[in-house]
Amino acid sequence: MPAKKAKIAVAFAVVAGLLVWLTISGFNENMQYYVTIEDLHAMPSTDMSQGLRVKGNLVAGSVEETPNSLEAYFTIEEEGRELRVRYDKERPDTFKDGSEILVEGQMTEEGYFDANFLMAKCPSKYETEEGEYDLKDYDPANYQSPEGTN
Amino acid sequence: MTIDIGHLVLILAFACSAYAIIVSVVGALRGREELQVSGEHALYMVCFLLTVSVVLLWQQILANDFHNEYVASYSNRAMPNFYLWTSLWGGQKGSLLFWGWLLSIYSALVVYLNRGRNRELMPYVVATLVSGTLFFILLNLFVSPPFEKLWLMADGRVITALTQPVGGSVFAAADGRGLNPLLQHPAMAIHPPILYLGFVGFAVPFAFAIASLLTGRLDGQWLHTIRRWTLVPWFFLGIGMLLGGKWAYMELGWGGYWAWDPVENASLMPWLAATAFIHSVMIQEKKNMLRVWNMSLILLTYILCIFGTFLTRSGVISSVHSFARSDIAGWFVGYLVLLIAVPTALVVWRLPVLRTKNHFDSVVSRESSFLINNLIFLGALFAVFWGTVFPIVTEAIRGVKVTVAEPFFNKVTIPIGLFLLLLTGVGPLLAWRKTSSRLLKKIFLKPSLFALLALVVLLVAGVRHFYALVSLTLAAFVTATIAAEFHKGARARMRGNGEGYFLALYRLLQRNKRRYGGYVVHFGMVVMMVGFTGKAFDTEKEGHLQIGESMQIRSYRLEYVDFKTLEDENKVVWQAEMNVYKNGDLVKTMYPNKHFYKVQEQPTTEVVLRSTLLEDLYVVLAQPNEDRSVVFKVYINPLVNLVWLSGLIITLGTFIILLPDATSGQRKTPGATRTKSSVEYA
Repeated sequence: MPAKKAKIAVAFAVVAGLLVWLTISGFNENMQYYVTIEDLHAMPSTDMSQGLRVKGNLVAGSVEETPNSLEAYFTIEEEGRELRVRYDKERPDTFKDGSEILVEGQMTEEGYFDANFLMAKCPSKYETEEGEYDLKDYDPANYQSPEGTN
Repeated sequence: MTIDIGHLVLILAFACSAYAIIVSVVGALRGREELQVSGEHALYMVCFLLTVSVVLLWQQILANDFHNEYVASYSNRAMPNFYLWTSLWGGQKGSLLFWGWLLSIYSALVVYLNRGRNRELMPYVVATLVSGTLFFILLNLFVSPPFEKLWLMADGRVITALTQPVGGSVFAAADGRGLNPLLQHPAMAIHPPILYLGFVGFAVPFAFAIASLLTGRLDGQWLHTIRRWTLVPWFFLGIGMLLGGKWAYMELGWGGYWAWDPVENASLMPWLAATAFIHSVMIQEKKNMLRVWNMSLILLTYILCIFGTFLTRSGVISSVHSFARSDIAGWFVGYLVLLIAVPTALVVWRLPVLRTKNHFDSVVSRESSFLINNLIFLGALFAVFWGTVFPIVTEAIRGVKVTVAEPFFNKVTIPIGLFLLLLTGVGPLLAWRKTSSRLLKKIFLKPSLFALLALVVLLVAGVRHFYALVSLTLAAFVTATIAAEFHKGARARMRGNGEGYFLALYRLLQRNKRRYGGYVVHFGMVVMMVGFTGKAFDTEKEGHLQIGESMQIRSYRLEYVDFKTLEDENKVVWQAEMNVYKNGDLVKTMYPNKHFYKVQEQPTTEVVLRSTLLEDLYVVLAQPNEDRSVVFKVYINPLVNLVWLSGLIITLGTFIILLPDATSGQRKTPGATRTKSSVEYA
């Protein structure tokens, strides 16, 4: 029965079409660009207002907290380039010197990056890279193999 | 010694897996039963060997054997014993070993339970399952070995190697680095294993699908066998996600439980595919339709599981969860290519046999509602998938990494979720083939009136949020349809068998576990959606308080009373004392605090709650200051407890479905207990 078949096809096409439209329109409105700190410095000022995502390592000692609020300014660094960032929400527990920081937000006219989202990772402490072992507390006598042979 | 043994056992497991695959395939091709049996025994052996290596690693963790690099990296002396156990999967190497081990346990179980059945399929099932395990054993041998040792070189460097390097001497750290304190939380302790039980478990239906494609035995038998084997991992995956949400809610201190992080999406994607499969497979059982579709769905589910593990483990997409970038990415890509290519080729090859002649009769029927359901689930999957991999794709095509964040996912998934909620109410009540408009009216009149009543109440109560109104109205509608189904079924039994109402309800569940258990799961989903809807009404406030000052948020007044600094060998604790008044009455004294772990030099925020079914008051000590003043962050999260509660309801429902039938082994004749509008599935 072609009429019935067509009806079913139309019903499915409508639903599928709505889904595609939903996805595409959602995409266009919510895109954010990953940029490097270097890109950011090279960027013409007209591009500055769009959503940007940038990452870098937190420069030790650069955090400057505004008293009596959660607002803070800090500097992140990648490949020698630095970026001043402002963030006024609670910073996650993993936010500390040297950790990898990912921020989302916009560049401001004043030259700092105004972040509305922040993510922090501190991989170095939990993932060992070869040769990075901390020797300061090493005492060979400390090691007793559980079965005493090694 | 035991470190070397651990690695040695893995090598043996590798040999055993290779043997199992070869003899199973040869045994199947030549029809040699003794080879097939030998393959099964080798599979049991792989399971035994992996168990030994897992036990060895646990033993080294518990014994603080810091000569083992993994142990030194993920455990330390100060950690409580309970969390030492969880160090097994706290890092990449251990978690990959754990993955392989769980898969080998699933495999051994499925082979044991099918030893007298599905004889034609089993050799290929064995080969497919073991090849999955083999992949993880390979990773554990060549890329990510959990039994590597630390060595001190003459120049003072410490290196990691399996065997003693020239000029190196035995090195063991005085203490380990310890598991990240953020991971030391009860929900986090069980979240990874449960999630893994989900990911890994889909290997079983996958293996049966491959086996039936290879043998050409594409009748209903394999579907019947994997029904439970699909539901179990589906359940674990869902509960695993909920536990992850609970952990994020309690430990991360940002007031939420789901952030559309790539790794969260990684577990959501296979769940969506599996949920679609669980529904559409009923059409195949009933009408022998959609055979290609179902086959593809279950294959896709497992591929997405591996893809998810790849996302979690490779660090290709920045995520809070990902481990440091590592060289396992290439291996995973290779395995994924294989996982996509082989099943696709098999499906294309068997296409002529898989196709069916049956067609749909009407738009308003159970079949088409299932199909729309599938379309929506896959639509959601599609959106989540593109949202997740978009940065990789744009980088590959345009050289710029572009990402879409939370607003995208919310915008797309909220309408999809609401439509699914509607289908949850409508779909199960439609009849197969065609539902007449007279019957439609009869089934849906009362639930619709109830939903309308709910809408009016909400409007009167002042709710104006559009999505919230839709969601809660639909929730009322679906709840009414489910209640009506139970009521109608019980009434029918009362008339037919002369049972009392509650006995009738009980018998109804007992006799139609799949159908009514399914309704219970649906009800759980309704409760979860209501919980999600609470997001529409949440609020947050930040306050900088001196001791003695108060802040007001909605009907709560929080008075900051005292501040303490406590210290033990492990950590420093900053703790504030707060009196919470609701509408003027003191309801609770709270102690929001922040820990600072000395070894890891990391703070952890300890959230405190005043929790009721209706809403959570969620208080975070955001920042302690020198002058004992504190910045507090306070959230009110309405209905969030319904999200956790829904997990319990879904557990109950799944449990009912999975209960063995009294007449096990015998399929009931369809229609024995049918009611007018719907037919039992089992």
